[in-house]
Amino acid sequence: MKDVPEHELLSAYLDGELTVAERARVEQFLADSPAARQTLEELRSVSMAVQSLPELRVGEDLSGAVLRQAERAILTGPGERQPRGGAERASPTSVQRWRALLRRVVTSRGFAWAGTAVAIALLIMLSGFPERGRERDVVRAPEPRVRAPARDAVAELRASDEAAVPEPEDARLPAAAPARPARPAPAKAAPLLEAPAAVREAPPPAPAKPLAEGEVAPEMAEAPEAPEAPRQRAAPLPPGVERLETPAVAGTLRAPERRAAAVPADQPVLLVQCDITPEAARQGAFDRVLAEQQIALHDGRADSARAEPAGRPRRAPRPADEPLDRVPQELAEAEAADVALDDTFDVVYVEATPEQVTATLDQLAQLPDQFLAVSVKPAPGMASQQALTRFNRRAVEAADVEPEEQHRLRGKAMRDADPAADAKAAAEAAGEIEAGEPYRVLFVLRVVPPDVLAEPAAAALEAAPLPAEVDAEDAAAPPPSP
Amino acid sequence: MPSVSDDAQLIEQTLAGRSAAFGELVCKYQDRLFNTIAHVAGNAEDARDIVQDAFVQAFLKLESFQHHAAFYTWLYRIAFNVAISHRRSRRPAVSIEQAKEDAGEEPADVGDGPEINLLRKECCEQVRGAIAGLKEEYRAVVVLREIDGCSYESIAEILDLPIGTVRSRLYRGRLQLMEELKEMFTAEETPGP
Repeated sequence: MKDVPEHELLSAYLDGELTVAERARVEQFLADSPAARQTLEELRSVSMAVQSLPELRVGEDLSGAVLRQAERAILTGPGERQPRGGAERASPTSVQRWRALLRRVVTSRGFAWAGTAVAIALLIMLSGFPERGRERDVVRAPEPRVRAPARDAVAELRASDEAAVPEPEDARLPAAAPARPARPAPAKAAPLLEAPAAVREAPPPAPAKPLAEGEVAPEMAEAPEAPEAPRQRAAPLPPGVERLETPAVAGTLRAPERRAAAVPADQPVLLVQCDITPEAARQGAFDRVLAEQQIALHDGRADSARAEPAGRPRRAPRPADEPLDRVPQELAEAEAADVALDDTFDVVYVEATPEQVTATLDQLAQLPDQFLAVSVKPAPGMASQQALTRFNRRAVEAADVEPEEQHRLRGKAMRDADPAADAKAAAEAAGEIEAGEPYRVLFVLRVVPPDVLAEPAAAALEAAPLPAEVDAEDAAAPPPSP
Repeated sequence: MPSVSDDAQLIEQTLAGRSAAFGELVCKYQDRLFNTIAHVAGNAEDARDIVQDAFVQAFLKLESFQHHAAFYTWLYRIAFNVAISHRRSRRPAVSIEQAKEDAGEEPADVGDGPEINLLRKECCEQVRGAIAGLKEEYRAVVVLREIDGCSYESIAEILDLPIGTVRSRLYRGRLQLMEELKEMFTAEETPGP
């Protein structure tokens, strides 16, 4: 008990972590010192006492939660950097755009696919399209424990879906609506008042090509016909697809890291996000591409979750005397909130063979003047997502890059990642699909107006302060488009 | 001990796009990691969050994993860094009673009768409390060695310390535990009436 280094060696001696020379030294020390032997025994007792503690277990399988949280992190964050301002910052524009997209998909004709479409679209939208100079200020969903439950988007959706009787006029205004800043954009808000039953009636651009030699994915074969109007109750969803109005969607939107996602891991679903010019959108350029590849939008099954078509002719605003039961509550809310988001996003779900997908992507890439950037990623394959993450990181670090250059770089990053090959390889590695089996593809088109490209990045950063009323749910909204 | 080759295969599959392979890694290590982190963090709730975040970080950084180290060593290093971040933003270690409640498990009833079981529970309580009372720098080393059975080399790698520092801290941590638990040991040695 007189030499500290030797006492330290006693502890290591107990663990068998000494060199031969050190061990000899300690054994000599023990032989010479009864106190050293006493200390050794006490150390042994302590060690045994700690080691005898019962093992603690998590009590649940964390793998699902880990993979969902990881995927969300890949899709929503520029690498491991924290978003500037965190999840607390969200602009009213982004909040409204987010909700509007959700509503449109919900109320679109292909409701049976809405669960899948929205779940995937959520991932995409949370990831956002690269914003110039904007360091993902709203892309991270808040943790559930800090989330304010005041406005429940799922409850809103459920209410709109289940409401079977016309509401009184004053019921159209949600409690939270007055808190939102008024935005003078009635002209743009008008299309949201379309009766969704008539929204997605675009004829197929070409006869539906049989998928995988006439085979239909099992879940698709069982998919019921979508309801004709949003007032109807939703038909059962295909296996593996969670109903939109269930808490699972809330989990995706509000607590994604703890809840099951609508699309199971390793499901071969391609996510294609694409920036499209307003002119190309007006001319239906994307539809033409699909038509040329004989990819059907509507083939009689409930396999298309087509939301608001970018640039398509729209119905006139709802006349004042139109029966209120034609107007879903959430759309009325949008009207009340002066949401002007009708022509920003388009969500299209298709099934297509790998050859069709590849040809479509090639064709989009050959039209850079119409499709400014195209990115593809499998869900939840890693390679493309990581490529996107790396790109996002670089884009954030070079926030002063001109927007056109960012679009070009982004497209290049994804092309370099050979996304189609990546998706196919990932799916094949998972043993999920055979060659030639159709992919399920979700296209998310963002119409990029010219003024967005022209707007300085610094101005974009200052453009959208977070209103005090925006709750935590709203903070999960995608980055605003300047 | 975990099979490194199995881990390498799962990592390879994960990087090839089969994220379910990473799920297998999570299943494989989650309880072991949780058991360790729970004693470091001092409560089960924080430990669960730390473990989940550590796996997420590992997934995101998997490309950078160097195969010269064992996966679990690399994972533990991430977990301890996450734990440090959590500790900076959360409350300090909880009390003995709270730690026991949070841990959620008690020694198994091995049929020794209620008195012995109660005594065993009390001992566990004391030991947990003593661990929670250790200085942080000692606690991490002690837990990795005594709870997880890590070698000094692994501990050094996980905590990014020289082996000599590991040895020193472990010795000092054990001494502090010895002091804290002296009463318990004395009572055990005292013969009954």
